[in-house]
Amino acid sequence: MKKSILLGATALLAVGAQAQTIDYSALQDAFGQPVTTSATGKPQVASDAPAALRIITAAEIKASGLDNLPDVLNRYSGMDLLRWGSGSADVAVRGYNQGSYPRLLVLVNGRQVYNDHFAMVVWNTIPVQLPEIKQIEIVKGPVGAIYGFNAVAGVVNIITVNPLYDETGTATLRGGTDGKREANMVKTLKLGDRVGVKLSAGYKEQDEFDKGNITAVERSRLTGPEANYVSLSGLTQVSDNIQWGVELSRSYSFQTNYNTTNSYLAIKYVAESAKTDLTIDAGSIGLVNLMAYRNKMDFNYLAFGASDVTTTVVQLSDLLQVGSDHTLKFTAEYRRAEMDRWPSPGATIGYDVFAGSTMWDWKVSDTVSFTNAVRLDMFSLDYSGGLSSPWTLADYDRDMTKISYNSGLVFKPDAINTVRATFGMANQLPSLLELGGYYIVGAIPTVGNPHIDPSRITSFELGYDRAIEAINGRFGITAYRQHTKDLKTFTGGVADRVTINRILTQTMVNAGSSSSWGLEADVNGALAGGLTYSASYTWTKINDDLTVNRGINATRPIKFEDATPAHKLRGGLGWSQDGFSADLGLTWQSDRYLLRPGTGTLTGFQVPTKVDSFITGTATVAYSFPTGTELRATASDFLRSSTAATAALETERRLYVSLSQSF
Amino acid sequence: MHNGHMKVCRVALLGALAVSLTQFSSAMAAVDGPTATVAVKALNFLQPKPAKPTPVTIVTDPGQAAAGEAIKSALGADVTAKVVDGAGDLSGAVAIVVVGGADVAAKASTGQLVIGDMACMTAGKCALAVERQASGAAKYHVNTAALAKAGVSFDKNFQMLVTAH
Repeated sequence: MKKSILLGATALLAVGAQAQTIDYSALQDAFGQPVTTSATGKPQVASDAPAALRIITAAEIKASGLDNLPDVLNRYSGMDLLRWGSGSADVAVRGYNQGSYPRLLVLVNGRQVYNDHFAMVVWNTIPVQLPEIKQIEIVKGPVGAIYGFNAVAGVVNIITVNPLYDETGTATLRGGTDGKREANMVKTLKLGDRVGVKLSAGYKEQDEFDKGNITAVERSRLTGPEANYVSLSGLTQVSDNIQWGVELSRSYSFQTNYNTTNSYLAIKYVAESAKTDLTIDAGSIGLVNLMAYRNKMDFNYLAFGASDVTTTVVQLSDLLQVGSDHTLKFTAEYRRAEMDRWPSPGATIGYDVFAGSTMWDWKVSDTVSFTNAVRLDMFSLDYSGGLSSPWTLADYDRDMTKISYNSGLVFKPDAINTVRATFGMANQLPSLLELGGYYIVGAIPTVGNPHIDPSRITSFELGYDRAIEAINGRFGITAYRQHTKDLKTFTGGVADRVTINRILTQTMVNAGSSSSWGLEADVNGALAGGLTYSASYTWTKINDDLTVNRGINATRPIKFEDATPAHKLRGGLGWSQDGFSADLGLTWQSDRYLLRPGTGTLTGFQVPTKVDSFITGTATVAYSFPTGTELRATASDFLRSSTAATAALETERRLYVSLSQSF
Repeated sequence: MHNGHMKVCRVALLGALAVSLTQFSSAMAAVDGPTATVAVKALNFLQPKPAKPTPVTIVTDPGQAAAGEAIKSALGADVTAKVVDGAGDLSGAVAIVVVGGADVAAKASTGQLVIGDMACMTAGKCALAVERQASGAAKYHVNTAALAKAGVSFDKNFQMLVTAH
């Protein structure tokens, strides 16, 4: 009796984090599967999400033996990798990949790392070390009603360990062929029960690829990628109902990029960010979140010039459960993006976006749920500084309002079957460069276009998932139809010159439409003896209806038909026992045609260049000592010395050894 | 011959019934060690969050203490458990795990989470039940009226993931 009273007294002492923010580890442990908010903005177990969703766990990332995010993402169906160099790559969801791919929104803990100047993701500047990733959530298909402009092909949300809930400490040294050297560390610290801090940092360098059919000018621009990172974040339990977080990061990368005109440029990036968010359990009002962040990226294209782009976002949301069957989320957002005109300075172009959105998740019955979300984005363009021909100030006085919509019906007749039907409509905002941030002085001005329209992407999708006890795994298949209206293209050649305000000009334009069909099938599971397996098939068929490039030769750097492999097969086999582990990943893809500038200049033709079908693979073996030390050897793209995976530099075989220590 | 045929039919029907019952076993079965182990993970999401190890009392039917002890031994280090029968002392426990048919709803104090099988949860005698699936996934069922009556609340993120009744 006395013992019970003592225990009771202990229990009444509330301790530690109250979890206004999501405790991914504890929820996954409880529900036996990963939990996500990426599909709708509300917490859901992965199998309930009304979207083609793939959650890559920390264990899967580690088991792959890979050392970079693009290669990790490329192991999954629906993903497409164009590796341009040892430090640069573009990752696409459901086709349409190209240099400086603009259709994918990538987030780190909800903060965009997608850059608004070229509307692209510079993967090598993302200030995250792989050991600090809790999970990567890939949502395939447009989710504009949840995320706004730019979430058109999908969203990749990188979730890192939470310093208030998770304890981790890892230091890694890595070295390998072709000058590969890397060191990184991540450490969380608990300062009492109510404050958690995380520090991560890293450095890496490697020689650039060498083989491949590129021009002498391009070759002169190649540089071995070098990058460093530091990130500091903290989360504190201010009171039982309030959590406050801060994240600061800085990264530097010097690398060779493959740009929108399909040629190589050496670029130095410095990316800095500051983010704060307040999460409040407001009782019957719901879970209220106020988030604000600012991203700044300095970029220096060594052959052209330097500039910077800044994005500021303030977002207020309320997630509210009404009764047991309805969940609502209301979001208001302000966004400001601006950049100094590039490569000819002297002006600033920017825009404000005021947005409001609502998500309604309705549990219709024990087996059916119906989710709808709608978002309104109100956009206003502005320009300051010296005006240059051909545009006038009136051309930059542009406002527009766009609606995005998502709807999903999920039918789960039992614990093993899930059927999913979704519809999405999202808008892809032109980049700041496309809107007028791009300006080259000359007799023929080469400029952005403030009148260019956003692309609109619509998608219909049908999916089926089944847990299969006999194989201790699951099978999933998704078919979709996607349509893109008002594609955008960068400046073209001589044939594309137009007269604007009586001045002969080269500029960006809308370029017609494109439609695609696709199918993604996956099976994965675990076998006895520590074996895991996975296999997937991706089919993509794209039909362009372009209003440019109608002559014999393409003059604009845009052509999606045949640019995505029609077929991709992937397979993976893993094994882990008694401290030993091994993993093999293989990918085969059919041929594709990628544009290359015929003369290597902006004014030349763009030539469709065949990339033959190929098979490539990565293998890794590791041993973990009881002391927390892991020794690992990895061979990526190991089947041959180099693989022509694009129409430019070939992807070279890389061998590296990693030594990690937990602390 | 006729009687024999009827007997065969009865056996077949009973067999079919047994198969049907087996298929629903995960939902209808009494709480066992693995299920209780998953169920007490919900304690991580109580508001306010209790200290660890969290005191849990396992209530069994009279004479069934062995079943309670089996559950106790299955629970991890995050909880400290004791086993009592329906007449036992429940004070000091953050959660009460009901094994069998005991009704502790009236006896439990405000703030105590009563965990039981699906029948107990559906009847409102328990606030929480867990359905384990072959894939390893778990579904938490919550009787919202029983939860409110007990004065227990969960973290909102967890609350949005449970199946409410």
